[in-house]
Amino acid sequence: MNNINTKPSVLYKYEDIREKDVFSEHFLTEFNVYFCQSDIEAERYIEQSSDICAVFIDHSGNDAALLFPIFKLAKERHPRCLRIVLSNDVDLDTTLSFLEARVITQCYTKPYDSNLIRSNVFMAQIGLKEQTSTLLMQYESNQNPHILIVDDEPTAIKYLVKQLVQMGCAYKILTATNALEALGLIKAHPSEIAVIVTDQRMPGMLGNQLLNEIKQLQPNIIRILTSAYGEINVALGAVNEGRIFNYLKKPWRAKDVLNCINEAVIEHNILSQKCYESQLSFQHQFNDVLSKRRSALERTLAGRIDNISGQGTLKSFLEILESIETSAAKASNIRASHETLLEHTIIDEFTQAIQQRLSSVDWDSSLDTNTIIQVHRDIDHSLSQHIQTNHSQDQLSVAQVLVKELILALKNILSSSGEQLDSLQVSHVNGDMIITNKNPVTLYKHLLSPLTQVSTPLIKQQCSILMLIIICRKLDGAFKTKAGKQCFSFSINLPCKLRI
Amino acid sequence: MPTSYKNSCFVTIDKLLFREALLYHLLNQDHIEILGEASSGFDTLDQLAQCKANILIIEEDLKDNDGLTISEMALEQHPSLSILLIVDVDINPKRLAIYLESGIKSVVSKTQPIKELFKALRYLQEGKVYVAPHLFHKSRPYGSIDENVFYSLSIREQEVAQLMADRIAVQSIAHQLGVSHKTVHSYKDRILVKMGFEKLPELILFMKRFRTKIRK
Repeated sequence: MNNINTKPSVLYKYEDIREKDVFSEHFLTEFNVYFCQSDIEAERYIEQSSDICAVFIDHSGNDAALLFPIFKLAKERHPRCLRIVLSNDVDLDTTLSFLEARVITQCYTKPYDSNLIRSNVFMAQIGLKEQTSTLLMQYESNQNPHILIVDDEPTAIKYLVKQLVQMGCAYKILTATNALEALGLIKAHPSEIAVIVTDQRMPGMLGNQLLNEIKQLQPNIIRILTSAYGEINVALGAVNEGRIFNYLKKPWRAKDVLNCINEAVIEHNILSQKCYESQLSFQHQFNDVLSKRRSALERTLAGRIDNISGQGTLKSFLEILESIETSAAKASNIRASHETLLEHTIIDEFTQAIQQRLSSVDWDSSLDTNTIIQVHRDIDHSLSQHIQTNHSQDQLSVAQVLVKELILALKNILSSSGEQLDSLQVSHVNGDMIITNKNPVTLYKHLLSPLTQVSTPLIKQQCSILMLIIICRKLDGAFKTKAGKQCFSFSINLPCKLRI
Repeated sequence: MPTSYKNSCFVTIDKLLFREALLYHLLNQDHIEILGEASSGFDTLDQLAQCKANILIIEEDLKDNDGLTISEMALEQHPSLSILLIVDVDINPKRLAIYLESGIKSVVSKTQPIKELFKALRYLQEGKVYVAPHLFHKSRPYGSIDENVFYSLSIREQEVAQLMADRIAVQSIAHQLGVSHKTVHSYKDRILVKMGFEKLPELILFMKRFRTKIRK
C-alpha cells in the first residue's frame, strides 16, 4: 500500500507547454509529478513505476480513442490509480465513449478545480475504497434484483416497461415519477433494488442529485442517468463525482436499455459480493484484534484489580462490556488497529486512568456495619440533593471517599446519555439499598468494540463502569446489568449488613 | 441549483462562545440555513433524528462522547449526511485517512484560518470530500501573512486598500482621489480578487496584521 506520508506520485502527459505550467503551479508542491509528452514515455513509466496514484492526460479534442491505450495499460498495471482526462472542452459523445469503455475515472474541463482533483488524488493515495454499503449484508448476492425506473412522464415509463418485459427482462421493474417517490421505494425495498435508471429533468430533486443521494444511502445500487437534453456539465459531474455506470440518451431504445440493465445487474452482484466479503473479512480481522486486546487488558490489569476487589472482577467487567452490542467493524477500525498505535494506546490510557481513580481509595481498610449505614445515608443524601459536600481529601473517611467515587462514576456513565443523577431511582428493600437507572444508559463504544481512536470521554466512562463494579464488591454488594444494543441498564444492590 | 433541500446545517460545538461566533459567521453566508445547534454529542443525535440537516459541523472535543464517535453514529442513521469535523491540532495524513474512511468528508483544525472552514463547507454542500492543500507541508504560523500579496497591487490599488482598511467611506475615498464612486467600487472588487478575499472584513484584518508586521 502506498506510504501515506510521502507525496502521491502522478503521471502528467501534456501537449501544450502552457498547460504544463498551469498544472505545475497547482500541483507541483503537492505531488511528485512525472512529466512527459509522448505515449512511449508514458507507457514506459507506467510499466516501470511501482506505485502511481493518478495518470493525467491533458488533451483537447474529441478523438477520445487515442487516449485509450495508455489508460488501459494504467488500469492493468495499477488497478487502483485514477485515470484522468484534462480537456479544454469535451462533447457528450466523447464523454459517453469514455464511460462505455470504462477506461477513465474522471474527465475535467478547464479551468479545473484543483481542490477537487487534489482531494481525489489524496483519497486514491490512501487507498480509500469506493464507499461501500453500511447495510449489513446477509447474503452474498441479491436473490431477486429489482430495477427502479424514475421519470416524470408516466406514459413514457409505461411504454418502456412494456417493451422491456416483451423483450424478456428477467427482473421486476418498479417505477416512480419523482425523486421523493423513488427514495421512498428504496426505503421500502432496502436490499432488493439493484439498479436505478433516472431521468435528469424532473420537478423537485434532479436526476443527478437523486443519484448522489442514493450513492451515499446505498452505494451498491448501480446508477444510470438518462436525459434528452445532453447537458455536458451534468453528464461530467455524474461521471466524475456521481460515479454513474452509464448514461442513456433519450429517446430510449429499449434494446439498449435492456442491455444496459443486464450489465448493471451483473455489476451489482459483483459489488454485493465484494461488500459481503469485506464485511466478513473485517469481522474476522477484528475478532483477531479483539482477542489480542482482551489478553493485553487481562495481562496488564487482572492482577491489580483482582487484588483489590477479589478474583474475577476484571473478568466480570469485560463480560459486561462484551454483552453490549456495538457497531460492526469497518475499514477504518481495521486500519486504525493495524496501522496506528491504537491498541497500545487503549491499554496505556485505560491502565493509567483506572490506577489514578483507584489511588484515591484505601482499599485495604476494613468496613464495619456502622460505616455501611453511613455510606447508605451519604449516598441517599448525595442523590436526593444532587450536591456533593466539598471536603478536602484529608478530611474524608474511607466511607466518604467511596461514596464520592461512586457518585462520580454514576455521573460519568449517565452523562453519555445526556442524563443527570436525578434519572436514578433509589429504593430500600429490607434495608438493602437498590439503585437503578430509569432509562437505559447509552454506550456507543466500549473497550471491547471496534475503535478508531481513544478519547477522554470513552476512557472516563469505561473507568467509571469498572469503578462501580469494584466499589460494589467492596461494599459486599452486586452490580447487575442488562445489556442491549449500544445501551445497558444497571442495578446496584448494596446490602445493609456485611456478610460475616 | 435548487437549494430547498440542500445546505441546511447543524452545528455541534461544546463551548457557547465559539459556537455562537461560528453561527454568526454562518448566518452571513449565502445558501446555508442553520437548522439547529447542540453542545453535546447525545443531543446532536437526538436532534438530527428530527431535523433534515444535510451538513453537520461538529467538533472533536465534546464532553460526553468524542466527535468522531458521534459522527460515525450519525452516519449510521443518516448515511447521506456530509460531516465536517473540527479538530484541535493539525492532523497528519494517516489520521486524516482514518477520518475519511469513517465517512467524514472534511477535517479542519482549529489552528487554521476560518477561510479553510468555509472553503471546505462549499464542497460539502455538494456532497464532495475536501482535503486541504497544506497537508504535506507545515501550516503557516498564527496570523502570518504574505506581504507580497499587498505589493502585487498597483500603487493606486494599494492607496485605496489602505483607505478602505481605515474604514473611510467610499464617497470620501472617491472625493480624496478625484474619481467617481463607481471607480472606487471597481477598485475594491479588483483588490479583493487580487488578494484572494471574498469580503471587506478580510481585507481590513489583513491590513491590520500587515501594518503590525511592517512596524516591527
